[in-house]
Amino acid sequence: MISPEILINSLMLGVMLGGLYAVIGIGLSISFGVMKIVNLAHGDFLVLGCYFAYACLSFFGIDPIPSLIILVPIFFALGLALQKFMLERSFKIDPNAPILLTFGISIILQNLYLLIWTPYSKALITSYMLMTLRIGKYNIPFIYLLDLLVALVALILLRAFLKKTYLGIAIRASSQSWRASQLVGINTSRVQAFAFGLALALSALSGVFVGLTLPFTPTSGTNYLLIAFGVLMIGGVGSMVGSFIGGIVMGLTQLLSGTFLGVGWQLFFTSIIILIALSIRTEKILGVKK
Amino acid sequence: MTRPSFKTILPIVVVILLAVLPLLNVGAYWTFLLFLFFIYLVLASMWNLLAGYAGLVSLGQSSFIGFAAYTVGALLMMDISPYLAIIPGGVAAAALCVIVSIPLLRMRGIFFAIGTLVVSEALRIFFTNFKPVAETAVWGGAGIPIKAYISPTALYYLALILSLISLLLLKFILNSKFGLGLMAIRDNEAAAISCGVNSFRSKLYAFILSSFLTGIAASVFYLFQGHVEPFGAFGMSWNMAMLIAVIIGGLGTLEGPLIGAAIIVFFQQMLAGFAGLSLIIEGIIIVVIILTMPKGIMGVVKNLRAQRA
Amino acid sequence: MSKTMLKVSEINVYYGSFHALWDVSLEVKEGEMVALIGPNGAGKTTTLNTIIGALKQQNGHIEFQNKSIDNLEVYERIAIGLAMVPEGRMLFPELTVLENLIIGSYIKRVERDRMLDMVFALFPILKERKNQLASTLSGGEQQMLAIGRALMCDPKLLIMDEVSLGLAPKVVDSIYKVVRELNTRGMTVLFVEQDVRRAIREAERVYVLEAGKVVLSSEAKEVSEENILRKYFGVVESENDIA
Repeated sequence: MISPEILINSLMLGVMLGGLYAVIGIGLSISFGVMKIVNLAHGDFLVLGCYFAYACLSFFGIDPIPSLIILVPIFFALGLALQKFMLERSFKIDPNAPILLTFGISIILQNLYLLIWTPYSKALITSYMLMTLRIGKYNIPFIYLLDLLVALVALILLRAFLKKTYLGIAIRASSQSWRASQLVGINTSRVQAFAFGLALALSALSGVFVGLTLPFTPTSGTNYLLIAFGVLMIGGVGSMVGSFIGGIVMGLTQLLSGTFLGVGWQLFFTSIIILIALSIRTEKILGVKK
Repeated sequence: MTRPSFKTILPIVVVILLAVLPLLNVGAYWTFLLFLFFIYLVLASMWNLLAGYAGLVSLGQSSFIGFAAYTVGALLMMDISPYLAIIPGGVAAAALCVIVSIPLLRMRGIFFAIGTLVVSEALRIFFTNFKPVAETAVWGGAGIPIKAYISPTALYYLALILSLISLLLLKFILNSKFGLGLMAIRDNEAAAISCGVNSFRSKLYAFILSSFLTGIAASVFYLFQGHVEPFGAFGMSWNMAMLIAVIIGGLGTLEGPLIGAAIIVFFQQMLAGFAGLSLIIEGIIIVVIILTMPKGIMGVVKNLRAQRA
Repeated sequence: MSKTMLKVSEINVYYGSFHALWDVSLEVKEGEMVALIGPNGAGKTTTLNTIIGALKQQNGHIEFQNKSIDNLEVYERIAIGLAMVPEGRMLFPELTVLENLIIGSYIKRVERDRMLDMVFALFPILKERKNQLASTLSGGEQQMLAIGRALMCDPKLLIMDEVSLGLAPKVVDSIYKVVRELNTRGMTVLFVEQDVRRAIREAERVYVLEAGKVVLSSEAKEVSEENILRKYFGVVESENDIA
């Protein structure tokens, strides 16, 4: 039987991982809220962050966390470019086109990873990643604690940005009424590009920490897209607190099902949760959009 | 009596040619290519029915493919004749469809797409863990063999007949009241409902029909393949192939899947030696097509015809 | 002679194949208060939307302060001094009153605090409710917020579309009192108003739009409500009118 210690251990790890999942979800939430399109390659960009950091580590010996200094700006710029040159154009052609476009990008990315890095799973291995802290009776891998810390800082900073800065309020305004945003002088096209760049920058950030925490393969992107979606559905669009709750639900589901049924079943139960969230919340999310 | 037009004679000639092809000793390779073409044609046509006519973008058709395949494998293990296992494969897929439509058809647009993706992922993981047979079998026990002693020629004819049936069925549907209702839903669901179209039921029927034929095609394919495992059956490769074929050929057209399926088979064979490269190129093609000619090749053809008129 | 602030010259606007505006011309001079009136469906909102840039005219020109604005996007026109209180208000429902106002000063951030003080002085109720979500306000308060938000960018020309819709007369009175005050201080106003009598009372000049065409352009004091209603709106006031 499962001892209470293991159960509590799983609960703690689930919450900590959940924090990171919240960050993964918030990126998708920002881009969905502002642009009304879902980037199906969202998870694959996160995995791009993993592979980038992996390359930095194996070729240049740069530790993943410092590599963020290069990664985040690159990803931000990538997001701006993608929005301006591809997504905006495809949205004008047909509202459904971005779905297919981002699916195409997802195909390209996943197979690129397959080609370059082989289908075998990789992980970002550093000295601190293997450390474990002993808190009372529990062994907590240091990386999980770091994940939670990073997630909290990121969410708090994001909240401040969205509430207190002109650009942040403009992003929120654009997601509520595109027409009204234009009427107060907001260049909605530029705001959308920024939002997408921000979403991708968050992917780089969460990608590095995900890579430090869990192994990844070329197809992991699909899994993280679904997790981001679960967070979005449970937490609603653009809400920090909601995303945090959503992330925790996903994290707990994963850890607890792993503990009780084995590692292989984790993702099965997260899928079920996402399906439930999708069927209940679609109306609500679409309702807000009207 | 008026002479039948070129347009009606040509398809009949083509079909007759295809029917006698195996007898002409063209070699197993070409029969195999055409076999693949027929299968992809059915899959693409069904995806097109959903996305191009009903407005339902499904990213999880592989759910039905894999489920049908496992059903066929299970039936064969119970010593049922392969020919008798094909229809049950389709029925199993349709049954799965009915069950998942309950949550899925409550979702719209992108949420529906993601929902279908979740279903196929869930099935993939389930079957990876389920391990119905011993560890020594395919894929560490997660896969099952599909030992059917059918000749490739027999499978070729099955595939040919199947693709003919699905094309004719599609043509019939699209010219019917049901098809009109579907297209109305695709263009403006609210307006369609106010005109008396039962949106939910129309979408449900389209979904079930497409999953049924998808399942049948899958059954025939996997009888050829000889085994099934979770990653290939429930993974993204089938979804990618269908989407690529229809987008390149032309979404919402009858001829689109024909062109697209041919291109897919061509590409895969051309780049067979270069593993993932074919998919990367196909992905790039999708991106380019959506940005430059979103209506696919058929769209370009129709534009040219309109300009000439 | 006062300068021309806005000049619309013979614009034609189509919705698909529907010809909505036919060679519409109008002019607003600096410091004026001009009303655009007409029966429902005449094209008043279409005209305003074309001026602000949400719709593109097929031909004809629009000039603001003697410079063409035909090629400017909506947000670019806001940046040069136009502002609009749209039909239906178009507030940001999930933003607070204060946030709605703050985002209104997006292009004139330096002036934010000064404009905020001005708006709160004009509409004290908004100051009271500044931390409430916009969607929780009453109709009249929402209208005030919409006007306040438009004012936050310190515009030269304020365009208002049917601010009286759905509001009690007393509330409308107080709103127009504020607009009059702003006009006295020098703000140019172009407004669409459903209530003909009020429009004639508040404006210096009126344009009457009917079926997409300007059918009357006159000083406000030279027209009477009955004439307009009878001639252009097809309204019969009494038996005596049926000649």
